[in-house]
Amino acid sequence: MSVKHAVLGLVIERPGYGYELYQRLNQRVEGHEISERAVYPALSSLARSGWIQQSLRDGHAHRQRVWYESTPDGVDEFRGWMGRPSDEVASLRSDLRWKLALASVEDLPDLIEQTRAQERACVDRIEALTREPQPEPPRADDFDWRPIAQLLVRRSDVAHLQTQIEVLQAVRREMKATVRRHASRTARSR
Amino acid sequence: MSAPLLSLDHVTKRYVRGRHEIVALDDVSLEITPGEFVAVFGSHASGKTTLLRVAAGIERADEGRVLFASNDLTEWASSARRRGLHPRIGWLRRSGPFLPSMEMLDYVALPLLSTVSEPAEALRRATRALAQAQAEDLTRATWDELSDAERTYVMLAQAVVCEPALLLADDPTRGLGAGDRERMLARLRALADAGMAVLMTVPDVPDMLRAHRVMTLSDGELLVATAQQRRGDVIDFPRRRGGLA
Repeated sequence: MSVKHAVLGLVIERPGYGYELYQRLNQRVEGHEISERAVYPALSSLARSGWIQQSLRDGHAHRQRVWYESTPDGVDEFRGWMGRPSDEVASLRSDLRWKLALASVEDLPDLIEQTRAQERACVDRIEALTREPQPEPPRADDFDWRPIAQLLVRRSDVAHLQTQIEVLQAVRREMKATVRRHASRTARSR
Repeated sequence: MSAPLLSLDHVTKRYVRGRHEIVALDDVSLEITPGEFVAVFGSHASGKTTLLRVAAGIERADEGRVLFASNDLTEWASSARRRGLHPRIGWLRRSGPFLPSMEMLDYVALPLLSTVSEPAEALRRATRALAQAQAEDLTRATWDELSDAERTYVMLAQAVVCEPALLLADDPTRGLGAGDRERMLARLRALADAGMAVLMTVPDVPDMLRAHRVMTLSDGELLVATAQQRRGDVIDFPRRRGGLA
């Protein structure tokens, strides 16, 4: 699970207090509510691993609050996670989704490769389905509902793979365009 | 595995539109053997039609090579305007006859005009093609009398009337409902089972389930299943058993 790495990415971007990190996390991935109860254990675990360090600072009304900053080891770990292929059959809701939200332009070539791996995994699943016996197509003059129903069920079984492939393709197209724009701008400024 | 009938080897195709360059095919490699039914999924403007046009030798690749039955189609494409399609390649068209009163048997026989001099022979072959497309009952019908699905079957018959080794079908289920789609796809599969190589593009994943192999295309980039990639790897790098690691 990558809430831990998402939180680590945010701490690297800008140090902060726990509640503030929780708010930033939810702003970053809209429509994917993460509870506070998930963020604090993630922070403790990151601190135990030595990827972030905590210190006490004065907050509002002279209350002491815990301040989190990243360590060089933490930065290494985050970059490593970004470049590591995600679980191939994982849906976009998990790893890749977080990576997209927290990536910088330098991470995009790796992420482009990861969208290819995930798309290939979808193709594998479809190809596995083609090896299963296919229902006979219903005759045009057949009044029986069952063969049509069987066929519709079969078609709906793979419809979600199409959605996933389309999302991966759209994401990759935009990432490739961004990398190209970035490269041509870097070349011009030289 | 038998030798490939069609092979695209690192094919790239670009179009220039004003100041913009569009890469329609980006380093695409693909092989099809006789009797194989290959389906390529891609959304709008992914490069599907260009892929088929390059595979048909209608469009010339900018880079890479296209081989069909040991003929270099890259060269063929340079004079495709004059020569038309390669005689062993069938292309599924969609348009009806110029004369509305023409019966479908005659319409299916039309492509034979230039090659078969005996009318009776042409009609015999057209009858066989209609049977292959499971559309024997449409022999005497005219275009206006046909449903969308029936029109597709007639066009399928016309595409195979010259007995091609390779059939190219760009979005063959366009405009059809679920039942008609399956009936059309089952006909394509039957042609493959009878030994024809079929390369089809589709905008919907469920349309690929009757194919032998599936691929996706986006932004001109073709992705194949991991197993197909591995198969290529094994051929390129035979695994050593025992001996030195």
